[in-house]
Amino acid sequence: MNPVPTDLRRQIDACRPDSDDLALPELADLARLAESDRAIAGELARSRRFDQAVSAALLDASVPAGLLDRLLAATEPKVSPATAAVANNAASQPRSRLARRVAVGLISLTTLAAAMVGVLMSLPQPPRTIGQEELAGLVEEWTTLVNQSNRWKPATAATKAPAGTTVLAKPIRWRNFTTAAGESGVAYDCTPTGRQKVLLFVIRSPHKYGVAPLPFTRLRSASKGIGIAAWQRENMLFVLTVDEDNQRLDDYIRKRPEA
Amino acid sequence: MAERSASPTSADATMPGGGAAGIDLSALVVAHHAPLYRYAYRLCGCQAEAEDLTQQAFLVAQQKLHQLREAERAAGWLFAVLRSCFLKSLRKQRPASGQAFDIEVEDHAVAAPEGDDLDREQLAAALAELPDDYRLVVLMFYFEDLSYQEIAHELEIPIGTVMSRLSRAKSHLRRRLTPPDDSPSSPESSNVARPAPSTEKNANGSTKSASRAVHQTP
Repeated sequence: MNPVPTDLRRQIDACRPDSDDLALPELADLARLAESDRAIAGELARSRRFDQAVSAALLDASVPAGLLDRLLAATEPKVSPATAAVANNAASQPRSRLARRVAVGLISLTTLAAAMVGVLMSLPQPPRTIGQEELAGLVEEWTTLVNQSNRWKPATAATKAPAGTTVLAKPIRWRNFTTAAGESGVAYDCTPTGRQKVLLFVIRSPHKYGVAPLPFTRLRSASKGIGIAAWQRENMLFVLTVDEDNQRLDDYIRKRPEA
Repeated sequence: MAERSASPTSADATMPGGGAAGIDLSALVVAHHAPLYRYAYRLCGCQAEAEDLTQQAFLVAQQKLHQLREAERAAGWLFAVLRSCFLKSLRKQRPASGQAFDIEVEDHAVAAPEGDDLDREQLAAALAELPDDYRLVVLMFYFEDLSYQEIAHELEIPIGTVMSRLSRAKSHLRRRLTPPDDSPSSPESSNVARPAPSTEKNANGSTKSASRAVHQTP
Protein backbone atom coordinates (compact mmCIF):
# COMPACT_ATOMS: atom_id res chain seq x y z
CA MET A 1 0.00 0.00 0.00
CA ASN A 2 1.29 3.45 -0.84
CA PRO A 3 2.70 5.54 1.99
CA VAL A 4 1.35 8.97 2.81
CA PRO A 5 3.85 11.59 1.69
CA THR A 6 5.02 14.07 4.30
CA ASP A 7 3.25 17.00 2.67
CA LEU A 8 -0.01 15.10 2.67
CA ARG A 9 0.57 14.06 6.28
CA ARG A 10 0.88 17.71 7.21
CA GLN A 11 -2.34 18.49 5.40
CA ILE A 12 -4.14 15.68 7.20
CA ASP A 13 -2.84 16.91 10.54
CA ALA A 14 -3.89 20.48 9.76
CA CYS A 15 -7.48 19.48 9.07
CA ARG A 16 -9.81 19.98 12.02
CA PRO A 17 -12.58 17.47 12.68
CA ASP A 18 -16.10 18.74 12.03
CA SER A 19 -14.81 21.62 9.96
CA ASP A 20 -14.77 22.69 6.34
CA ASP A 21 -11.00 22.98 6.36
CA LEU A 22 -10.78 20.82 3.24
CA ALA A 23 -11.96 23.87 1.34
CA LEU A 24 -8.84 25.80 2.36
CA PRO A 25 -6.30 26.33 -0.42
CA GLU A 26 -3.37 24.62 1.31
CA LEU A 27 -5.45 21.45 1.68
CA ALA A 28 -6.54 21.24 -1.95
CA ASP A 29 -4.44 18.13 -2.62
CA LEU A 30 -5.89 16.38 0.38
CA ALA A 31 -9.46 17.32 -0.57
CA ARG A 32 -8.97 15.87 -4.03
CA LEU A 33 -7.29 12.68 -2.84
CA ALA A 34 -9.77 12.11 -0.02
CA GLU A 35 -12.45 11.69 -2.67
CA SER A 36 -10.51 9.41 -4.97
CA ASP A 37 -8.15 7.47 -2.70
CA ARG A 38 -9.71 5.20 -0.07
CA ALA A 39 -6.45 4.88 1.84
CA ILE A 40 -6.14 8.65 2.19
CA ALA A 41 -9.80 8.96 3.14
CA GLY A 42 -9.26 6.30 5.81
CA GLU A 43 -6.17 8.03 7.11
CA LEU A 44 -8.06 11.33 7.30
CA ALA A 45 -10.89 9.66 9.20
CA ARG A 46 -8.42 8.07 11.65
CA SER A 47 -6.73 11.41 12.19
CA ARG A 48 -10.06 13.05 12.95
CA ARG A 49 -10.96 10.35 15.45
CA PHE A 50 -7.60 10.85 17.10
CA ASP A 51 -8.21 14.60 17.27
CA GLN A 52 -11.59 14.05 18.88
CA ALA A 53 -10.07 11.71 21.44
CA VAL A 54 -7.28 14.15 22.27
CA SER A 55 -9.74 17.03 22.54
CA ALA A 56 -11.86 15.07 25.00
CA ALA A 57 -8.83 14.00 27.02
CA LEU A 58 -7.49 17.55 27.20
CA LEU A 59 -10.74 18.68 28.77
CA ASP A 60 -10.48 15.96 31.37
CA ALA A 61 -8.68 18.06 33.97
CA SER A 62 -10.36 18.84 37.26
CA VAL A 63 -10.64 22.46 38.31
CA PRO A 64 -9.07 23.12 41.74
CA ALA A 65 -11.54 23.55 44.57
CA GLY A 66 -12.18 27.16 45.43
CA LEU A 67 -10.67 28.51 42.21
CA LEU A 68 -13.89 30.24 41.21
CA ASP A 69 -14.14 32.02 44.55
CA ARG A 70 -10.51 33.09 44.37
CA LEU A 71 -10.97 34.43 40.86
CA LEU A 72 -14.13 36.28 41.79
CA ALA A 73 -12.39 37.79 44.82
CA ALA A 74 -9.39 38.81 42.72
CA THR A 75 -11.50 40.50 40.08
CA GLU A 76 -14.18 42.10 42.20
CA PRO A 77 -14.54 45.82 41.48
CA LYS A 78 -12.31 47.97 43.64
CA VAL A 79 -12.45 51.67 44.44
CA SER A 80 -10.39 53.42 41.79
CA PRO A 81 -7.21 55.18 42.99
CA ALA A 82 -8.60 58.51 41.83
CA THR A 83 -11.77 58.14 43.90
CA ALA A 84 -9.77 56.95 46.89
CA ALA A 85 -7.45 59.95 46.60
CA VAL A 86 -10.39 62.34 46.53
CA ALA A 87 -11.93 60.67 49.54
CA ASN A 88 -8.65 60.74 51.46
CA ASN A 89 -8.14 64.37 50.57
CA ALA A 90 -11.60 65.28 51.81
CA ALA A 91 -10.97 63.55 55.12
CA SER A 92 -7.55 64.98 55.78
CA GLN A 93 -8.23 68.61 54.79
CA PRO A 94 -11.72 69.43 56.01
CA ARG A 95 -10.96 73.13 56.19
CA SER A 96 -10.38 73.41 52.49
CA ARG A 97 -13.42 74.72 50.63
CA LEU A 98 -12.85 72.29 47.79
CA ALA A 99 -12.41 69.43 50.20
CA ARG A 100 -15.62 70.36 52.01
CA ARG A 101 -17.51 70.40 48.72
CA VAL A 102 -16.07 67.01 47.80
CA ALA A 103 -16.93 65.62 51.22
CA VAL A 104 -20.49 66.94 51.01
CA GLY A 105 -20.81 65.53 47.52
CA LEU A 106 -19.56 62.12 48.59
CA ILE A 107 -21.92 62.04 51.58
CA SER A 108 -24.83 63.00 49.33
CA LEU A 109 -23.89 60.33 46.85
CA THR A 110 -23.57 57.75 49.62
CA THR A 111 -26.99 58.66 51.00
CA LEU A 112 -28.52 58.52 47.54
CA ALA A 113 -26.86 55.17 46.86
CA ALA A 114 -28.15 53.76 50.15
CA ALA A 115 -31.66 54.92 49.32
CA MET A 116 -31.44 53.35 45.87
CA VAL A 117 -30.23 50.08 47.34
CA GLY A 118 -33.24 50.07 49.66
CA VAL A 119 -35.61 50.63 46.75
CA LEU A 120 -33.90 48.00 44.61
CA MET A 121 -34.02 45.42 47.40
CA SER A 122 -37.77 45.82 47.60
CA LEU A 123 -38.14 45.05 43.87
CA PRO A 124 -38.14 41.54 42.35
CA GLN A 125 -34.61 40.25 41.92
CA PRO A 126 -33.22 40.70 38.39
CA PRO A 127 -31.51 37.77 36.72
CA ARG A 128 -28.06 37.24 38.13
CA THR A 129 -25.23 34.78 37.88
CA ILE A 130 -24.92 32.22 40.65
CA GLY A 131 -21.68 30.34 41.22
CA GLN A 132 -21.29 26.66 41.97
CA GLU A 133 -20.52 27.08 45.65
CA GLU A 134 -23.61 29.20 46.19
CA LEU A 135 -25.68 26.70 44.26
CA ALA A 136 -24.38 23.86 46.43
CA GLY A 137 -25.58 25.82 49.48
CA LEU A 138 -28.97 26.41 47.87
CA VAL A 139 -29.34 22.71 47.14
CA GLU A 140 -28.98 21.97 50.84
CA GLU A 141 -31.68 24.53 51.59
CA TRP A 142 -34.00 22.97 49.00
CA THR A 143 -33.37 19.50 50.36
CA THR A 144 -34.31 20.65 53.85
CA LEU A 145 -37.31 22.56 52.49
CA VAL A 146 -38.89 19.69 50.58
CA ASN A 147 -38.41 17.31 53.49
CA GLN A 148 -39.88 19.69 56.10
CA SER A 149 -43.52 18.94 55.34
CA ASN A 150 -45.13 15.89 53.94
CA ARG A 151 -46.53 17.32 50.73
CA TRP A 152 -45.19 14.54 48.59
CA LYS A 153 -47.57 12.99 46.12
CA PRO A 154 -47.10 9.42 45.01
CA ALA A 155 -45.82 8.97 41.52
CA THR A 156 -48.06 7.17 39.08
CA ALA A 157 -47.09 5.25 36.02
CA ALA A 158 -47.45 8.51 34.11
CA THR A 159 -45.13 10.43 36.41
CA LYS A 160 -41.85 11.08 34.71
CA ALA A 161 -39.05 13.47 35.23
CA PRO A 162 -38.98 16.07 32.44
CA ALA A 163 -37.66 14.83 29.13
CA GLY A 164 -33.96 15.15 28.65
CA THR A 165 -33.02 15.08 32.31
CA THR A 166 -31.02 11.94 31.55
CA VAL A 167 -31.64 10.73 35.10
CA LEU A 168 -31.80 6.98 35.12
CA ALA A 169 -33.80 6.54 38.34
CA LYS A 170 -37.59 6.46 38.27
CA PRO A 171 -39.53 8.90 40.46
CA ILE A 172 -41.49 7.30 43.29
CA ARG A 173 -43.07 10.55 44.54
CA TRP A 174 -42.98 14.25 43.75
CA ARG A 175 -43.96 17.63 45.11
CA ASN A 176 -44.01 21.29 44.11
CA PHE A 177 -42.02 23.85 46.03
CA THR A 178 -40.89 27.45 45.81
CA THR A 179 -37.35 28.51 46.54
CA ALA A 180 -36.47 31.40 48.84
CA ALA A 181 -35.72 33.44 45.72
CA GLY A 182 -39.24 32.81 44.42
CA GLU A 183 -38.33 30.27 41.75
CA SER A 184 -40.89 27.53 41.17
CA GLY A 185 -39.67 23.98 41.18
CA VAL A 186 -40.58 20.34 41.37
CA ALA A 187 -38.73 17.83 43.52
CA TYR A 188 -38.75 14.20 42.45
CA ASP A 189 -37.86 11.52 44.98
CA CYS A 190 -36.14 8.88 42.87
CA THR A 191 -34.86 6.73 45.73
CA PRO A 192 -34.78 3.12 44.54
CA THR A 193 -36.23 0.49 46.87
CA GLY A 194 -33.82 -0.42 49.61
CA ARG A 195 -31.32 2.27 48.62
CA GLN A 196 -30.33 5.64 50.00
CA LYS A 197 -31.80 9.00 49.06
CA VAL A 198 -31.83 10.20 45.46
CA LEU A 199 -33.53 13.54 44.74
CA LEU A 200 -33.99 15.41 41.49
CA PHE A 201 -34.84 19.12 41.53
CA VAL A 202 -36.15 20.75 38.38
CA ILE A 203 -36.40 24.50 38.80
CA ARG A 204 -37.55 27.20 36.45
CA SER A 205 -35.24 30.12 37.05
CA PRO A 206 -34.38 33.43 35.41
CA HIS A 207 -30.91 33.21 36.92
CA LYS A 208 -27.78 31.90 35.23
CA TYR A 209 -26.11 29.20 37.25
CA GLY A 210 -22.45 28.50 36.71
CA VAL A 211 -22.99 24.96 35.52
CA ALA A 212 -22.78 23.19 32.18
CA PRO A 213 -25.69 23.18 29.73
CA LEU A 214 -25.39 19.40 29.43
CA PRO A 215 -25.14 16.81 32.19
CA PHE A 216 -23.32 17.46 34.26
CA THR A 217 -21.28 19.72 36.52
CA ARG A 218 -20.34 18.08 39.81
CA LEU A 219 -20.73 20.38 42.79
CA ARG A 220 -18.99 20.15 46.12
CA SER A 221 -21.51 19.56 48.84
CA ALA A 222 -20.93 20.86 52.33
CA SER A 223 -22.47 17.63 53.59
CA LYS A 224 -20.11 14.70 53.52
CA GLY A 225 -21.22 11.83 51.36
CA ILE A 226 -23.73 13.79 49.27
CA GLY A 227 -23.05 13.92 45.54
CA ILE A 228 -24.55 16.81 43.60
CA ALA A 229 -24.79 17.07 39.83
CA ALA A 230 -26.25 20.13 38.14
CA TRP A 231 -26.80 21.46 34.68
CA GLN A 232 -28.91 24.22 33.18
CA ARG A 233 -30.67 24.24 29.87
CA GLU A 234 -31.99 27.72 29.11
CA ASN A 235 -34.18 28.66 32.07
CA MET A 236 -34.49 25.13 33.49
CA LEU A 237 -32.06 24.11 36.18
CA PHE A 238 -31.62 20.39 36.92
CA VAL A 239 -30.00 19.22 40.14
CA LEU A 240 -29.55 15.60 41.18
CA THR A 241 -28.46 14.78 44.71
CA VAL A 242 -27.38 11.31 45.71
CA ASP A 243 -26.40 9.96 49.09
CA GLU A 244 -23.09 8.44 48.10
CA ASP A 245 -22.47 6.29 51.14
CA ASN A 246 -22.91 3.13 49.15
CA GLN A 247 -23.91 4.34 45.74
CA ARG A 248 -22.47 6.72 43.15
CA LEU A 249 -23.80 9.79 41.40
CA ASP A 250 -22.67 8.33 38.08
CA ASP A 251 -24.98 5.36 38.59
CA TYR A 252 -28.00 7.59 38.21
CA ILE A 253 -27.14 9.91 35.40
CA ARG A 254 -26.39 9.63 31.76
CA LYS A 255 -23.65 12.08 30.80
CA ARG A 256 -25.17 12.98 27.46
CA PRO A 257 -28.81 13.75 26.72
CA GLU A 258 -30.82 11.43 24.63
CA ALA A 259 -30.84 12.23 20.94
CA MET B 1 -13.49 22.22 19.85
CA ALA B 2 -16.47 21.17 21.83
CA GLU B 3 -15.28 23.07 24.86
CA ARG B 4 -15.44 26.27 22.94
CA SER B 5 -18.63 25.79 21.02
CA ALA B 6 -20.49 24.24 23.92
CA SER B 7 -19.10 26.47 26.59
CA PRO B 8 -21.88 27.81 28.77
CA THR B 9 -22.83 31.23 27.60
CA SER B 10 -23.89 32.73 30.85
CA ALA B 11 -21.58 35.47 29.70
CA ASP B 12 -24.46 36.19 27.39
CA ALA B 13 -26.25 37.46 30.44
CA THR B 14 -25.55 41.11 30.16
CA MET B 15 -25.39 43.22 33.22
CA PRO B 16 -25.17 46.95 33.67
CA GLY B 17 -21.76 48.40 34.36
CA GLY B 18 -19.87 45.84 32.35
CA GLY B 19 -17.98 45.95 29.05
CA ALA B 20 -18.96 47.46 25.75
CA ALA B 21 -21.59 44.78 25.27
CA GLY B 22 -22.81 45.26 28.84
CA ILE B 23 -20.90 42.15 29.88
CA ASP B 24 -20.08 41.75 33.53
CA LEU B 25 -16.69 40.29 34.37
CA SER B 26 -18.01 38.17 37.20
CA ALA B 27 -20.37 36.53 34.72
CA LEU B 28 -17.40 35.79 32.49
CA VAL B 29 -15.47 34.34 35.40
CA VAL B 30 -18.32 32.06 36.40
CA ALA B 31 -18.98 30.90 32.86
CA HIS B 32 -15.44 30.51 31.58
CA HIS B 33 -13.11 29.88 34.51
CA ALA B 34 -13.14 26.11 34.03
CA PRO B 35 -12.22 25.97 30.32
CA LEU B 36 -9.70 28.75 30.82
CA TYR B 37 -8.08 26.94 33.71
CA ARG B 38 -7.90 23.73 31.66
CA TYR B 39 -6.26 25.59 28.78
CA ALA B 40 -3.80 27.17 31.20
CA TYR B 41 -3.12 23.82 32.82
CA ARG B 42 -2.36 22.19 29.48
CA LEU B 43 -0.11 25.08 28.50
CA CYS B 44 1.82 25.15 31.81
CA GLY B 45 1.49 21.54 32.90
CA CYS B 46 1.35 22.70 36.50
CA GLN B 47 -1.67 23.44 38.68
CA ALA B 48 -0.19 26.38 40.57
CA GLU B 49 1.10 28.06 37.42
CA ALA B 50 -2.20 27.40 35.67
CA GLU B 51 -4.13 29.06 38.52
CA ASP B 52 -1.83 32.09 38.35
CA LEU B 53 -2.16 32.26 34.59
CA THR B 54 -5.94 32.01 34.75
CA GLN B 55 -6.12 34.79 37.32
CA GLN B 56 -3.74 36.91 35.28
CA ALA B 57 -5.91 36.41 32.21
CA PHE B 58 -9.06 37.53 34.02
CA LEU B 59 -7.26 40.58 35.46
CA VAL B 60 -6.14 41.57 31.96
CA ALA B 61 -9.65 40.88 30.69
CA GLN B 62 -10.97 43.19 33.39
CA GLN B 63 -8.81 46.00 32.08
CA LYS B 64 -9.71 45.35 28.45
CA LEU B 65 -13.35 44.43 28.89
CA HIS B 66 -14.39 47.37 26.75
CA GLN B 67 -12.77 45.59 23.78
CA LEU B 68 -15.26 42.77 23.98
CA ARG B 69 -18.13 43.82 21.74
CA GLU B 70 -20.12 40.62 21.51
CA ALA B 71 -20.85 38.29 24.38
CA GLU B 72 -20.92 35.34 21.99
CA ARG B 73 -17.22 35.84 21.36
CA ALA B 74 -16.26 35.93 25.01
CA ALA B 75 -14.80 32.40 25.06
CA GLY B 76 -12.50 32.98 22.11
CA TRP B 77 -11.51 36.39 23.39
CA LEU B 78 -10.64 35.04 26.83
CA PHE B 79 -8.61 32.20 25.31
CA ALA B 80 -6.66 34.77 23.32
CA VAL B 81 -6.06 36.89 26.43
CA LEU B 82 -4.82 33.86 28.32
CA ARG B 83 -2.58 32.86 25.43
CA SER B 84 -1.12 36.34 25.35
CA CYS B 85 -0.38 36.16 29.08
CA PHE B 86 1.27 32.78 28.57
CA LEU B 87 3.47 34.11 25.77
CA LYS B 88 4.50 37.07 27.90
CA SER B 89 5.50 34.77 30.74
CA LEU B 90 7.47 32.65 28.27
CA ARG B 91 9.36 35.66 26.98
CA LYS B 92 10.39 36.49 30.53
CA GLN B 93 11.68 32.98 31.15
CA ARG B 94 13.18 32.19 27.76
CA PRO B 95 16.92 32.57 27.26
CA ALA B 96 17.83 35.23 24.73
CA SER B 97 19.55 32.66 22.52
CA GLY B 98 16.27 30.89 21.81
CA GLN B 99 15.65 27.19 21.79
CA ALA B 100 16.84 24.50 19.48
CA PHE B 101 15.28 21.09 19.63
CA ASP B 102 14.84 17.87 17.80
CA ILE B 103 11.53 16.28 17.25
CA GLU B 104 10.58 12.89 15.97
CA VAL B 105 8.68 12.68 12.71
CA GLU B 106 9.40 9.06 11.95
CA ASP B 107 6.36 7.72 13.69
CA HIS B 108 3.73 7.88 11.03
CA ALA B 109 3.39 4.13 11.07
CA VAL B 110 1.85 4.30 14.51
CA ALA B 111 -1.84 3.63 14.58
CA ALA B 112 -3.78 6.42 16.20
CA PRO B 113 -5.71 5.17 19.20
CA GLU B 114 -9.37 4.69 18.54
CA GLY B 115 -12.05 6.28 20.62
CA ASP B 116 -11.74 8.26 23.79
CA ASP B 117 -9.36 5.83 25.44
CA LEU B 118 -6.26 7.96 25.79
CA ASP B 119 -4.16 7.66 28.88
CA ARG B 120 -4.47 11.04 30.61
CA GLU B 121 -1.12 10.85 32.34
CA GLN B 122 0.61 9.84 29.14
CA LEU B 123 -1.07 12.75 27.38
CA ALA B 124 0.14 15.21 30.01
CA ALA B 125 3.64 13.76 29.80
CA ALA B 126 3.64 13.89 26.01
CA LEU B 127 2.51 17.52 26.05
CA ALA B 128 5.20 18.39 28.58
CA GLU B 129 7.84 16.90 26.29
CA LEU B 130 6.88 19.20 23.46
CA PRO B 131 8.78 22.45 23.06
CA ASP B 132 6.70 25.48 24.05
CA ASP B 133 6.23 26.63 20.44
CA TYR B 134 4.90 23.26 19.40
CA ARG B 135 2.70 22.82 22.47
CA LEU B 136 1.17 26.24 21.93
CA VAL B 137 0.31 25.50 18.31
CA VAL B 138 -1.22 22.14 19.03
CA LEU B 139 -3.24 23.50 21.96
CA MET B 140 -4.49 26.42 19.87
CA PHE B 141 -5.67 23.79 17.40
CA TYR B 142 -7.38 21.63 20.01
CA PHE B 143 -8.52 24.15 22.64
CA GLU B 144 -9.24 27.26 20.64
CA ASP B 145 -10.44 25.33 17.60
CA LEU B 146 -8.40 27.59 15.34
CA SER B 147 -7.49 26.61 11.80
CA TYR B 148 -3.83 26.54 10.78
CA GLN B 149 -4.46 29.82 8.94
CA GLU B 150 -5.86 31.47 12.08
CA ILE B 151 -3.00 30.14 14.19
CA ALA B 152 -0.49 31.57 11.70
CA HIS B 153 -2.27 34.91 11.81
CA GLU B 154 -2.44 34.99 15.62
CA LEU B 155 1.20 34.03 16.11
CA GLU B 156 2.42 36.00 13.10
CA ILE B 157 4.35 33.08 11.67
CA PRO B 158 4.17 31.46 8.21
CA ILE B 159 1.41 28.96 7.46
CA GLY B 160 4.00 26.35 6.53
CA THR B 161 5.60 26.67 9.95
CA VAL B 162 2.26 26.15 11.65
CA MET B 163 1.48 23.08 9.54
CA SER B 164 4.90 21.64 10.22
CA ARG B 165 4.72 22.20 13.97
CA LEU B 166 1.19 20.86 14.11
CA SER B 167 2.11 17.71 12.24
CA ARG B 168 5.24 17.05 14.28
CA ALA B 169 3.48 17.73 17.55
CA LYS B 170 0.64 15.40 16.62
CA SER B 171 3.10 12.76 15.48
CA HIS B 172 4.72 12.93 18.87
CA LEU B 173 1.37 12.64 20.64
CA ARG B 174 0.37 9.67 18.46
CA ARG B 175 3.62 7.91 19.17
CA ARG B 176 3.46 8.51 22.92
CA LEU B 177 -0.21 7.67 23.26
CA THR B 178 -0.22 4.54 21.21
CA PRO B 179 0.85 1.23 22.66
CA PRO B 180 3.69 -0.38 20.71
CA ASP B 181 2.36 -2.59 17.98
CA ASP B 182 4.72 -4.16 15.51
CA SER B 183 2.01 -6.22 13.95
CA PRO B 184 2.32 -6.03 10.19
CA SER B 185 -1.43 -6.40 9.91
CA SER B 186 -1.98 -3.06 11.61
CA PRO B 187 -3.97 -1.18 9.00
CA GLU B 188 -2.20 2.08 9.58
CA SER B 189 1.25 0.65 9.70
CA SER B 190 0.95 -0.45 6.11
CA ASN B 191 -0.57 2.76 5.08
CA VAL B 192 1.62 5.58 6.17
CA ALA B 193 4.95 7.03 5.40
CA ARG B 194 8.25 6.88 7.18
CA PRO B 195 9.67 10.11 5.86
CA ALA B 196 13.33 10.81 5.98
CA PRO B 197 14.46 13.07 8.81
CA SER B 198 13.50 16.57 7.92
CA THR B 199 14.45 20.01 9.05
CA GLU B 200 12.52 23.15 9.83
CA LYS B 201 13.74 26.65 10.33
CA ASN B 202 12.26 28.32 13.32
CA ALA B 203 11.41 31.97 13.77
CA ASN B 204 14.90 32.69 15.04
CA GLY B 205 16.47 31.17 11.97
CA SER B 206 17.92 28.18 13.78
CA THR B 207 17.43 24.76 12.27
CA LYS B 208 15.58 21.92 13.91
CA SER B 209 16.50 18.43 12.86
CA ALA B 210 14.40 15.35 13.19
CA SER B 211 15.63 12.57 15.37
CA ARG B 212 14.29 9.95 17.69
CA ALA B 213 13.89 11.90 20.87
CA VAL B 214 12.10 15.11 21.70
CA HIS B 215 14.23 17.30 23.82
CA GLN B 216 15.18 20.90 24.34
CA THR B 217 18.59 22.41 24.55
CA PRO B 218 19.28 26.00 25.48
